[in-house]
Amino acid sequence: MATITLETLTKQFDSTTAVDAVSLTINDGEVLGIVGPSGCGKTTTLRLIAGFETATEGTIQYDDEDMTHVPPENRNVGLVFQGYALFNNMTVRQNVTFGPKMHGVRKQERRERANELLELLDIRELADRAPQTLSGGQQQRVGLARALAIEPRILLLDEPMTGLDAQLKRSLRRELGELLDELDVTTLYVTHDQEQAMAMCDRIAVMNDGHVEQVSTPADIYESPANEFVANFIGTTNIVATNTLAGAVDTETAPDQGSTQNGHRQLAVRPDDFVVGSGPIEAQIANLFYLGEQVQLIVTTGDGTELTVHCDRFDADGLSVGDQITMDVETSRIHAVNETQ
Amino acid sequence: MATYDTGSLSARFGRQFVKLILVTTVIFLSLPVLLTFVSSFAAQWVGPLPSGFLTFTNWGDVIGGTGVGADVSVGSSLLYSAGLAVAGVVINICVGVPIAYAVARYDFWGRSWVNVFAILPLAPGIILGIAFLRAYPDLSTSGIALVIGYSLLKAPYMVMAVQSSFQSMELRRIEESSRSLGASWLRTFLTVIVPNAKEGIVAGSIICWTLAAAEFNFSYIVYSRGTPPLSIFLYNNITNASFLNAAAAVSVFFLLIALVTIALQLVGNQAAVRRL
Repeated sequence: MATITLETLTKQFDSTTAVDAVSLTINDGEVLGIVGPSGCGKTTTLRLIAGFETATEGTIQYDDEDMTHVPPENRNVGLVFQGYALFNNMTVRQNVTFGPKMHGVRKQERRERANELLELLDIRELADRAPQTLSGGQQQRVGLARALAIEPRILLLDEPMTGLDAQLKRSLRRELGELLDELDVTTLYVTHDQEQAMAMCDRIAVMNDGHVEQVSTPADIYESPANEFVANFIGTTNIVATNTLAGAVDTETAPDQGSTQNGHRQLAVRPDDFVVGSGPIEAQIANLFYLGEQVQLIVTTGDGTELTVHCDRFDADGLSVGDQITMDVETSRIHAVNETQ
Repeated sequence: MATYDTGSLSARFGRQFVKLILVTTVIFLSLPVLLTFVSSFAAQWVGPLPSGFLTFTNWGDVIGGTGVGADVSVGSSLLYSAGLAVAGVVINICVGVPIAYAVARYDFWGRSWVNVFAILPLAPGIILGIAFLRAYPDLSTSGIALVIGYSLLKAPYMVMAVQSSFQSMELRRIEESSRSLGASWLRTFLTVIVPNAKEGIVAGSIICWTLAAAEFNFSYIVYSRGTPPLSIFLYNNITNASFLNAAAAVSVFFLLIALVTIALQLVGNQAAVRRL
């Protein structure tokens, strides 16, 4: 395990800057998530840390050791891909012992290590099976066991749950979270799935267009997004002007930082922070979606602003498209946001 | 839901028609092979069909080298061709697999040209043979010329078979996983990439060996003395021997091809079974 430090890390492909002066620290034993839209540079950052891309500028340190130009086979990183990339010419056990074998671990010891990991991941009975005969969830566990078998300084997970069904994702998320806690291994988890990242990571870095927009705990990022991009990317957010919330917002105490648009400050309000039933904000239901535990209302306020509102399914009883409703929102739930540069 | 007109001609007779075409084609293509093989056990063939079954005289003549009017036995010619083809396949594997990997895995300048050059030797053997004679006149009288020629002529089949195997794999991720686990590039290639492409390599080897062992055009142009390759042996001697002797010689070759094909497939299947 190690503390990983990226200093003004930059990667350019011809004229495109995929990673732009990223500085980031992954603390020893921490699970750091990188989230962001496709093409934001999160996978390139992971590949730079793994050594599969060469940095154009900046440095990568594992503890105090400069690893910027060290080849991937000498970095001791565990890597789990979306497709797991298991070696189909080997059994599950051979896959798991492959890494230790490359590191010169004796046969008996690597066999014991593999058995331990297969036991830990609850796939001991699959040891002699071929990877291609396993289900997606089982393959994911094998991929993880293989990556952990080399006792990596950092575990890199690149969209490891993409392609699995929702139920399996949920159960694996819990298991993987518990496992990473138990092993206390430094982990970088790259995903476009913000829900997975929120549930599993100690901290999250939100990337956009090669930059890191915000690094913080999941709760902080959700509750206090640094800018409009983060507010929109993490969860659903209504970005509105102060006058839209007139009556609900005490303009004296409302957040006064942030940018202005057409003379009004930009405010962010989460859909589930609205209370439907009474309050000073009047709106008409333009659309209504039943989501299961919640109902999503798309409403239009008097000034024509469209808001997304979530309410409990019992509170939405009897509501239909075209109905006039009233809503309230606590000032403390409103955050000023800067426009994304 | 889509509905189908079960009364139409294609719905009523389509399947039977396709079956009929398929069976007719298979019979048409396999009849000469079957007839040759069967006639090799006949004593004579004067009417429309061979007669005088069952005799091993023709096979005895061929294997003993007494009946086909040749100064060498078919056995030595057959072994010589088989050896040349094996050597050609070894070269094809050593050169074709890395080329197929490079083209399938990496994006580099001139990639499409490398691909074109790997497939270019599909040129007729007679052309390559003449070019070979001109370029390497000293080499052309030895078996080395035949081995190089066979491997050049058959390389596209190896490259294409292995390339299709590589294209069905997540090459980049497999390679990167292996390297992150501590394996060097070369070790990754030899212990992970190549074994994963075993099916393609076996298929390519079967095709290359079979075609090389029977290659006539290139052999005819380049061969000058010594033990003749099988195709030259058959060509030289069929006219000097009875058809039934020639049929036995060809049947020996068919059998050898069948045996090699089955053996190589068993190697491929064994790898697959071991994984299950």
